Amino acid sequence: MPEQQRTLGAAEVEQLVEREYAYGFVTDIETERVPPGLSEDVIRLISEKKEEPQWLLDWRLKAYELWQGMTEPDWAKVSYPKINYDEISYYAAPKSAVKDGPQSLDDIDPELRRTYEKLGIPLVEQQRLAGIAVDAVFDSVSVATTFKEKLAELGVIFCSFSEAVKEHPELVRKYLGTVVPHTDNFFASLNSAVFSDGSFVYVPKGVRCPMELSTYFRINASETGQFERTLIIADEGSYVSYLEGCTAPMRDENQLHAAVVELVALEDARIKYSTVQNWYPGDKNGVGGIYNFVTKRGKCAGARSHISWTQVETGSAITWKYPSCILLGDDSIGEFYSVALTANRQQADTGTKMIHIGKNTKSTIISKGISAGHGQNTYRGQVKILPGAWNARNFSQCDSLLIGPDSGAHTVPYIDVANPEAQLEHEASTSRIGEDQLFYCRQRGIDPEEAVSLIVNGFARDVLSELPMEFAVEAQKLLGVSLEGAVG
Amino acid sequence: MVEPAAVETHYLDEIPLREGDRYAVRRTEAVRQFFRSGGFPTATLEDWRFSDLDGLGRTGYRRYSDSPALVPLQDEELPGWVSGFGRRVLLSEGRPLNAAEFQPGNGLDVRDLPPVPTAEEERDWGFVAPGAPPEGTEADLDAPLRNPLEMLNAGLFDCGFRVRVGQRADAGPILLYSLRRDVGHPAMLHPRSVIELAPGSRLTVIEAHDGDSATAGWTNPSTFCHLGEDAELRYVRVELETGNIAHTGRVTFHLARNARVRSTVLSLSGGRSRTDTTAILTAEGAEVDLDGLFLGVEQAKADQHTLAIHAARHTTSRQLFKNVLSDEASAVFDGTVVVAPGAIGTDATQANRNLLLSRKAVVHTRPRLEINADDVKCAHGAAIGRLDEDALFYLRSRGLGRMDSHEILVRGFAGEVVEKVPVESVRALAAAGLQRVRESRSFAA
Repeated sequence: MPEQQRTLGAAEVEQLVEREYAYGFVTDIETERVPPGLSEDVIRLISEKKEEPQWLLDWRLKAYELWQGMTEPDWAKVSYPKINYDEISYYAAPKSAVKDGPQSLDDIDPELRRTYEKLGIPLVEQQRLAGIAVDAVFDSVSVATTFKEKLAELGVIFCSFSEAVKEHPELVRKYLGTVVPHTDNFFASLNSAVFSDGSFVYVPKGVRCPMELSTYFRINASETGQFERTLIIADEGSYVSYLEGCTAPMRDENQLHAAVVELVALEDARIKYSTVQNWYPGDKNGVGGIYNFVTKRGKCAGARSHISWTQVETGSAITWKYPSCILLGDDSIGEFYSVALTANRQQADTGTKMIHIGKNTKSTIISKGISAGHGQNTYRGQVKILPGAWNARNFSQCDSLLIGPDSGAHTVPYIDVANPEAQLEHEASTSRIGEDQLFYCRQRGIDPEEAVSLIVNGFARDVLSELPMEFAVEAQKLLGVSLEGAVG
Repeated sequence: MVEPAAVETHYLDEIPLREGDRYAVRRTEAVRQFFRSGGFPTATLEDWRFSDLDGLGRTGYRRYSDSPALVPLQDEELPGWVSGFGRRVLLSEGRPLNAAEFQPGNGLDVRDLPPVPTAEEERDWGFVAPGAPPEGTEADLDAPLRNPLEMLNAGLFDCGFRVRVGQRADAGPILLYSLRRDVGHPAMLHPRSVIELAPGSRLTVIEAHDGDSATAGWTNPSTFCHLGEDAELRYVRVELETGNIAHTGRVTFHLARNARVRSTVLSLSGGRSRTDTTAILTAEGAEVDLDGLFLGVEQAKADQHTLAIHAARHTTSRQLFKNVLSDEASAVFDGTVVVAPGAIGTDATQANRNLLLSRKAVVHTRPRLEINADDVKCAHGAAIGRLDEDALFYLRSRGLGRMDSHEILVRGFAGEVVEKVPVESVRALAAAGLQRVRESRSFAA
């Protein structure tokens, strides 16, 4: 009886909608913050607190001036009440971390350490998962970076952004804003004006970074925005794999997260950037949650360079994110693998841009959207092949899985080709979890919840397999948790 | 050219006002509405990124009827395929030539546009949205009426046809042919046609827009097709205008229960064209095929927009648009499938395939899906590439020349759309278009 099964399904979608957010705790820690509101003075204050050189302050102010004349983009298929940028506090930092900055890992506030333990981040080196160096960002400041010495031996720089400004100003100045300029878009300009911290990575020529580098972001303080900025430079012939994770406490008000990530891959370099985004998504009625408005872009500047984005987006009330690749160098390669899951009232408008400029450039896009409950999921991606990009190649696949009659899945590719040698394919399909698939699983003694999780994980496998092992396990668990109690 | 500030006044002055026209107020309101909602769309609007009409607005087009240079069209001026067509009605510069003497038969009746439509005719003329969506679904059925150029047509239309097929009648093919000539001043045409199929009826319609002009010209036709239950329409649109004529046309299909439309748009014009094809599937079992083919040479530019709105359960749409681009030709495909909330059982596919034959050809494609119901089957695909080297090698190794082997492959590519056209003489037009592709500078270069 299809009719009956549908009602049953709808009832169980209700359950799915009631999943709990596991990272919703608040750490009771003293924070130093600037009062809400944005002005030149606030920017000067942030810059001063971070003891920044004049050129960086000037850059921030230039961005701020520009931002004031910009309008918030409205083309994405997401709806949210207007953000009042004067109600946001643009800088918040745990007091104890700010004082002098931790000298060693032992100096970190035990409360902070317990927070990261709860999150499962191995800050303390002894407890670490072998081979991952972590930079943890709490609200606006970077709290600790592990494995720094070991990396330094190879010449790899992995530190917080503010530290990089102090220690390696020439590198920061050379590359900051070269991929995402301060003029880029509304949220990137805002970030350029007020960014607080983030991670900085430089891998020297010919070095293969021996461990996965990882950043964990957490928004803790209320009424704050988080604006981190990450800059990764892979010099000629180098390789680095970078992981990023995010969580935030449960709050009824929406919080803004507007980050910028810039990647630069020089000749023969390769950067692999993986994200597991699990910001607080809001409750089942869509109250609260993070607005995740992020600009991420990589530049394959050198010949044969390679940038690969992998993302698992399960959190945030609203996601607005398009990790992109500028394929400038000949024979360079760009990749984008994405799983975006929206449940309850979550909305995601995400995708990528692949700009083919060099000869023989290749790009691959695999996007898997899962919509449950009232979730709205949009893939929006551009593939642009410029006249000089001879023999360019792109393959895009965007699949959507719908769970529940009120969910929505949308696909909006933008394909622009101006070279006859380009070869390009775009495919997309939309379906729901088939009754037959569920029946098959249940017949074999798998309970409905597990069956849905199995099917979803199978659906997302092409992407999950691109993640480094530890992250893949986490991502798989996240998808499972998110869909707990789904269709029967 | 008209000064930007004077554009609105210019078009308000161009409204054809006839004595006793209850539509006078309505026409003015439509033109005003057009300017209130932004006037001539520019590239800053997402939907018009590749069809910037700002220049069009300022060209200062006038209606043909004002033209003193107009001389009646002679039969010899008609192309052979038109004069040889069995049942046909003609417009010359917007003036009906023979609709008045059209003999109804086979359940088919054709009239030219009445100067003053009656109140009952309002819906038929496409001014009023088809009403609320079917129960249990939510769909935006007014979307086609919000097209800015549709608003302008609603204010300025002064010619067109009304085609009706009676219940269960099987009417053979009819040709609606519009020809325009150069009258030495920038002239515009706003035809408005309505095709009505009573329940259970069948009809084949060829709508052709032809003409050549060295002076700037603009054709902006709206066509509305209403299909009753179980009705079946075969619609072929042929765009043949060349020279300095810009074409911005729309065709909208409303389908009742189990109605079926097969539509083919052949863009064979040498100039700029933009065509919006919309299908609204308002009841269970409705089914639509939207096909398109653009054969572009020199600076030809075709912008194809499609919209399939699945407003009811268990409806089907299939889209296939193909572009062959030589020289500096450029093509846009912007297709959308909307599945309204509640429209379960939807089956929709959408494909756009592009063949680039020249290093200066450009293609922009946007195949979109907007899906708001879970029990649906939707897929889309886009592909862009050049001729397959292996296939060329195969043909050449069997003794075919370079030109011929290229031509065979291009013909095969286009054939998928052309072969479905039911009228031989129209297929021949596509063949002539293919011949122009073969003769183009960049072909097999």
